[in-house]
Amino acid sequence: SLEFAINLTYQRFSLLWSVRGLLDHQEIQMNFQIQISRINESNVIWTGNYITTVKSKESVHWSWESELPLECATHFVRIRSQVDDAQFPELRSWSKWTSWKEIRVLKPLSPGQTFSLFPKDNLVEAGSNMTVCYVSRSHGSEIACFLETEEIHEEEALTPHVTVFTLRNVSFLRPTGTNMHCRQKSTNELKGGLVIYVSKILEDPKNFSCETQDLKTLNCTWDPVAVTAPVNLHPSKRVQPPESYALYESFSQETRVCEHNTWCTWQVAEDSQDEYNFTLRLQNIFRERSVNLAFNLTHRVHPRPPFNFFLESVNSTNARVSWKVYPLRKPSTLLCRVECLQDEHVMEQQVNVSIGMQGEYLLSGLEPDTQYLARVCCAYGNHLWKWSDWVGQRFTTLDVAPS
Amino acid sequence: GCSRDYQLLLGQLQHQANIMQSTGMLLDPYLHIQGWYDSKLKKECKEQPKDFLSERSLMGLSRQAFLQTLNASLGLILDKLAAYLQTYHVNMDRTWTQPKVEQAWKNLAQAERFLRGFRNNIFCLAQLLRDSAETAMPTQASERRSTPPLDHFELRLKDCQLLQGYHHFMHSVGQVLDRWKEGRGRRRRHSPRLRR
Repeated sequence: SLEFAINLTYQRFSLLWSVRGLLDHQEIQMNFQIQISRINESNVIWTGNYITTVKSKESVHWSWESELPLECATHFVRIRSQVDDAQFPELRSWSKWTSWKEIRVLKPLSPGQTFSLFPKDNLVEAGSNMTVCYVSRSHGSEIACFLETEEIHEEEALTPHVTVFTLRNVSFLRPTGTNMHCRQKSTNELKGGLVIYVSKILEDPKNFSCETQDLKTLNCTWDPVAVTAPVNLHPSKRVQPPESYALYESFSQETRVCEHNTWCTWQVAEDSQDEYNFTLRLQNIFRERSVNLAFNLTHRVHPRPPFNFFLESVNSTNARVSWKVYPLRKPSTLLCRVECLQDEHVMEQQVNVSIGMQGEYLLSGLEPDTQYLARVCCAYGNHLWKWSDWVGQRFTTLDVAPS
Repeated sequence: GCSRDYQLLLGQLQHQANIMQSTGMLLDPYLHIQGWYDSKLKKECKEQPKDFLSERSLMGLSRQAFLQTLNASLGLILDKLAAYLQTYHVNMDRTWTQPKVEQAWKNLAQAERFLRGFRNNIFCLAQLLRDSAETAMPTQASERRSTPPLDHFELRLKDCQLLQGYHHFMHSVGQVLDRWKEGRGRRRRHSPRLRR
């Protein structure tokens, strides 16, 4: 027997059937031919084959998406089968067709309602075509429909009570959707309307980059993708979620779903390799985009700024600076740059100091009674990727004691 | 805190009610956001009598019942505004909007702040009246009649009609407050249930 379920959000119906006569634990490949008719059984609109392995006592599941809203027309479906298995070459003849199964959305119009447009609150991708239809208790000829402010002329009377429109190359207008409505021609009375949510076509994520502060956690970032999530002012009414992001790493073959739409973190395993090959996957219900990035972890270290920056033994010409740095997972040295600036004039005294956990440096040759800004930043010594932010402090050298 | 100056509070309420009569405060930004402002659909935003009490009905209420009705109506609109603004904040970082629509969102956010101030003045005046011997009325919960699920178009139509009605209701509120100013408002009467 053929069972079905209707999903109006996706305008899809699912079929479920079982095959009799299989022995226990037997598996057999079969080819099912499926026919779909619309409005009446003789009006076949689609025929297709579905080849699958059937197991005893297991149902076969198959679904079909209708371009015409299911509320607007009754559909009929039947199937027949054929063994398509090398084990049983002799059983290749087609079975008889099942009887037609009627698939109807009950009561598209609620009591007292004389007109309704479908599909309700649909989400489509910009540039796609879309079929809209209305069901009207009175004959359809006296109705005029508008997409935003433009009257729609390309219509087809499917039945005396059902009229169909094909909206071509639907474009994105605004996050709150495109408005369609219909009026009675004679009275200009509003009969009903629709909101069509249009999502821009997903683009590839740009400026995908990853770096680490400590060789323990990777922080990947990318530019926000200009995707328009449908802004539905009625949160109680769900519109499909916009898009999702995930990071896939090919060496470890692990995937991590990202909660944010411009960044994601990845925990580096203790004994893991240094080489990484990431794929950022961006997906919505229409399509998937991805971008790749391969790198050596140690080539992507962007240290945190130093801390505990102190100035000591400041006299008229010298000053000693000291600072600490956050440890990295692997024993390594940081390259630090010390600068000494005087007002806008960059009196640079730069030196690279390789240090472990603590750094210090003597600034010399300074002018007496003069204000300076001393600052330091560090980078990963093994492979310079980015300097950390600066940390520093203003100080004034002592005046020269009168001789 | 609340002012204890009856005339001052009354004057502020009148001023706020007058400002709220303008569709530029709520309905127009809403229509811009929904894409109905430049469409024939704007004409469909006709107020529905069931949404708010008429001026005549308001005139017949005691002061306490009037303030309570006004408070409940503001609450309804504030709930709607909060829901709209919440969806904006959720989608703001990945939503592309035109400048006009961006301004409309700001106007709605401003209207919400304005209504909170309005509602605070109502509370203060009601408290003042209570202190001057009028008995307090319990807040009437608006009846929630179950209706068949509406699709987004129907919700938009219903909301714009509600906002249209609300601006007209503010006109009626202004008229009542004018009469209070002239000292001709009603002092005590049995208060009818909030019609919804």
